[in-house]
Order: sequence, then structure tokens, then C-alpha cells
Amino acid sequence: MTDLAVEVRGLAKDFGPRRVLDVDRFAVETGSLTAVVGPNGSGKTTLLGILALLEPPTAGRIFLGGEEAGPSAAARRRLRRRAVMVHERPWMFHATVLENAAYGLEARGVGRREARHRAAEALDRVGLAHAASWPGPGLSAGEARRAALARALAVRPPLLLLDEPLADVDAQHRANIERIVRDLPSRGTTVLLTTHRLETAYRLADRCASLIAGRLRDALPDNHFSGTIVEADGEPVMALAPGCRLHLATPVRGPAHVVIDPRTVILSRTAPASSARNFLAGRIAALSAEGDRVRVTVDVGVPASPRGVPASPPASPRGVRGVPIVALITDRSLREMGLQLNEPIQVVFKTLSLDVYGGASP
Amino acid sequence: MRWTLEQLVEALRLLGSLDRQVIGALGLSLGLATLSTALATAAGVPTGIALGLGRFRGKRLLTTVLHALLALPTVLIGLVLYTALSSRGLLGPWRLLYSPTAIVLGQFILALPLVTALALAAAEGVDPRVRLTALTLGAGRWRVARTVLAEGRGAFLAAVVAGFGRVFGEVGISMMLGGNIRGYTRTVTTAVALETAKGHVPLGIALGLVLMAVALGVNLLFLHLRRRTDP
Repeated sequence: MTDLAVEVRGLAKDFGPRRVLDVDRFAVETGSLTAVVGPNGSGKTTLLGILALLEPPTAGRIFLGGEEAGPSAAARRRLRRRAVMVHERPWMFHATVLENAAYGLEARGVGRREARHRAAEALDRVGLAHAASWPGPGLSAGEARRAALARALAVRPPLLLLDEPLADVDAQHRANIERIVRDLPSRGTTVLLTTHRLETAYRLADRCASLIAGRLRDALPDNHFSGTIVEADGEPVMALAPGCRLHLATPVRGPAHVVIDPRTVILSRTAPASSARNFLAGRIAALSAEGDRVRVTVDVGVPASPRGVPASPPASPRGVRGVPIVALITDRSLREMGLQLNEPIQVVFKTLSLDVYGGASP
Repeated sequence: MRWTLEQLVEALRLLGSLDRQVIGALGLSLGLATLSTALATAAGVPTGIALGLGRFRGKRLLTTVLHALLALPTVLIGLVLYTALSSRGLLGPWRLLYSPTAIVLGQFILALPLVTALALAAAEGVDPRVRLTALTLGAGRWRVARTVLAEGRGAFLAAVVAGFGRVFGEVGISMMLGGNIRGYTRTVTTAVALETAKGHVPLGIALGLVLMAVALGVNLLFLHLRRRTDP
């Protein structure tokens, strides 16, 4: 059995009458680098806060390093030291940057001299050695984020929880932070980070999960494609397969990710006369029920070409030879249309329902 | 109007010739207020932080009771302690009545709810990230409290200054528990009350002005401290 740095079961968090997190099970393997991708307000920060044992969940069980966080306050305090969370907008204490970076070590009983020495090393790693004597609250947002990362790195925690680690970090230091974060698993620190940018997740993580409206899926969103956006007939397109391309409305050119919300994908037996710019012919490769919704996977085009590959996790349903596009429809639509497996069908969606993320790694 | 002005002018004239007794009363006022404020700070600030950061059942009720205690009249505290400390009272054997210790005890009870309530507000006013950051970096309860205290030091200092101001200017407790004994328990405020009762209004006003000047000086000192400790 693989070691798990963190695991949650039946996790739920309510803010008043609103359920902001609802996670059946989620686990992060020791020594891995996992990214949770989701839009702002999807519950990413709340999830990290709960995993860091800073915030109690409404329901559910949390295990850190295989040990369950029970109700005992003393035990939670002890267990809390296995993880350090770096907030999206970190707080710098009213002390020097060096004293800030040494805080966690001193809290763990490391002598002042040794703590300062290790804190200085951590500051050097994030490129803030020159700022050691500056007052912490005077740092810019990007500098504060790097200082907070150094403050967390200094204690060498088994699990590091990073909330949007690259937001506000300037381009000059971004590569350095990415390199530090990527190296952490090999130095014995498991990393779980959140981001609202797919490309960040791709560049950094060896495993991605998506969090949308408090629901965690152990995979990136459906209908996620990576490829190259080029200009064709005066409009941007991305080829998914020969003869199968997406029409887009975006200023982005070059490597990119495109996500199509499955709820906006329309299924039609005939090519509709509509304003939608994208309609692709395919056949129904899979049907699966999700509550009162049905996931219809349509196989469009032929096997992927090197120019455009489906970037979805290798969870493509059997029988898909080309590009799978998922449509989420209601039970009633399914019954009324009488959809059958292998049936030829058109998938239709508007260019504006496509989310484009530029800067995909080649 | 003319009479008031005359009293005021006479008071200003007297300021220049304040005798050793007045200086003694002033020293006692300062000493007692400092001691009682220090005790109220030692008990009230940690309690305020614990209440401000804690999440427990009955917190709102406790806070409401604390706020109600802010309206406690000095004369009531004086009366209750007088009953307890008088020779037939519960604490009679301690023989504390009409002593500086009795005044400190009364002033401590007066300042405690104020310092606690303001410390509670100060702790709640500290950015929640302070506590979360301290916790996630492995701080235990004491270190979290110390960090919250350090980050909100301006507001905590204001709680202490308010406590000092409350006890430095009170008269009911000093009068009832101290007995206004010359050279022993006579403070500036009890002296003002005595001189006014005796019809020496100008002297009363002069003493009042001294009280105000010292209170102002103490506040300026705190302000200076706050500027120095704030980043």
C-alpha cells in the first residue's frame, strides 16, 4: 500500500446554509506534487485550510501521514506540525524578514542561532537574502509570497500546502519558485498546491485534480484539450485531429489549453442552423448516469494527430478512437431523444463557451 | 461668572505654591493607579486574548456580562469592598480597610472589566491570518497568544491606557476604602473632594489641574511608547 501524506473521507464544509465543500475521498501520495485546479471561489483555500487543520470541517475524517486528526486539541496541535500552509495573501509579522522566516523553527523549539541560520538559507533559496533585515510588512505582494514560502521551507515540513503560489510573483522569480516547488518532493516534502491556471498545474504537478463548486474530481475537467492555436481563414482555430478543429474567439495564438464546459455542449441528430460556430460529427462512445444528469461521450474525428492531442487524463472510455467530447444532458433529454450507443450524432457549441488558457508547455 | 473666574485665577496662583503634601498625594495617586493597572493588565489582557481567540459555547453571554461590568459605579465597588473589609466583614481579619492596599484592590476590580473588554476587542481586531499563520507554522497556544499580542500591540496598549485613566481619576473607591488619611491614603482626587467640601474651591481646582496635567503626561508617554513599538 502506498504511503499517503494526506487523506480525507466524507469531507464537507458548510458556511451557513451553503455547502462549499463536498469531497467523498481525496488522497495525496507521499512524495508527490499534486495540483488542485479550480476557478476563484471554488473552495480551494477552504480545502487547504481544512487539510492544514486550521479550520474544522463540518463533517468528515482527515488523516495526515496515516494518523487521524481526532477531536483532542493537543493531538491536533501535534499533527498540525506535519503540514505547513502558505496562504494566497500571506501575513508577514511585524518583525524583520529573517525573524519571519525563523518563526516556524523557533516555534518548534530550534535555538535562535540555528533557526536564524536555516531561515537565512531558506531566504537565499527564494532570492530574498538581501531583504533579511527589512521589515516583513513592507514587502511587496510578490516578495511577501516568496518570504512566506521561505518561512515554510525553513521548517522542512513533510507536507506543504501552497495556495496559489505563483500569483503576484513577477516573471523574473516565477521560474525560480517553480523550480523550488518542483524539487520539493525529492527533498522529502510532499506538495499540494492550488491554482486557477491550468498551465501552472501542468507545468508543476505530476497529478492534477479539479475543484469546481466545492466538488473535487480526481482528474482535470472534461473536454480539456491542449494544442496550438493558429490563424485559419482569418480566425483562430485549434486542430484536434485531421479534419476536426475548434473555432475559437481569443487573442491567444500558439500553445494553449481549451476547456469546453460539458453543460454547454448540445447534441443534435442533424447539423443545426444556428449561430454556433462549432459542430463536429461523431458517434456516441459512452453513456453514464451522474445523478439526474447523463454524461454522453461522443467520439469525434479519427485518432489524434501529433498536432492536437486530448489532454484529458487517460480515462477515455473504451471505444474512443478519436477525440472524446463530453456532453452533460438531463435524464429527460436522453429519454426524449432516445440516444443509443454508437449512434451518429453532432456535437454543437458556441465559440464563447470555450475557455482558452494560453502558454501551454509544448 | 465673575466668581468662577476669581476661583480659577486663585487656583492658578496656588499652583505655584503647591506644598509637599500635594506632591505626596500625587505620588500616591500615581503609584496606586500604576499598581492596580499593572494587576488588571496582568489578569485582563491574557483573559481578553483567550476570550477573543477562543471559540466556545457561552462566549457571547460572557462578553455581554463583561460589557455590563463596564458600567460598574465606583461607589458600588467601594461599598461592597467596604462591607467585606470592615472589621465584621468577610475579609475583616485581613485588616485592610483604610489602607493603600484596599484602594489598589478596589481599583483593580474597577479596571479589570475595562482592560479585559478592550483586550478582547483588540484580539478580535487582529487580522485572522496572524493566528492562522502562527498555527500553521507550529506555534502552541502560548506562542499564538504572544504573536497576537505583538501584532496588535497598539490596541492592547490603548486598553492599558484606558484602564489607567479609569483608576487614576476615580474618587469613590479611594474615599471609601482609603479613608482620605493625610500622608497615608490621601490621593489627589480625595484631596480635591476634601478641599471643595471645606470651601477651598481654588485649591480643589488647582489639584484638579495637576491631576489633568499628569494624566496628559502619562498619555503622551504611552503615545511615545506606541510610536516606538509600532513598525
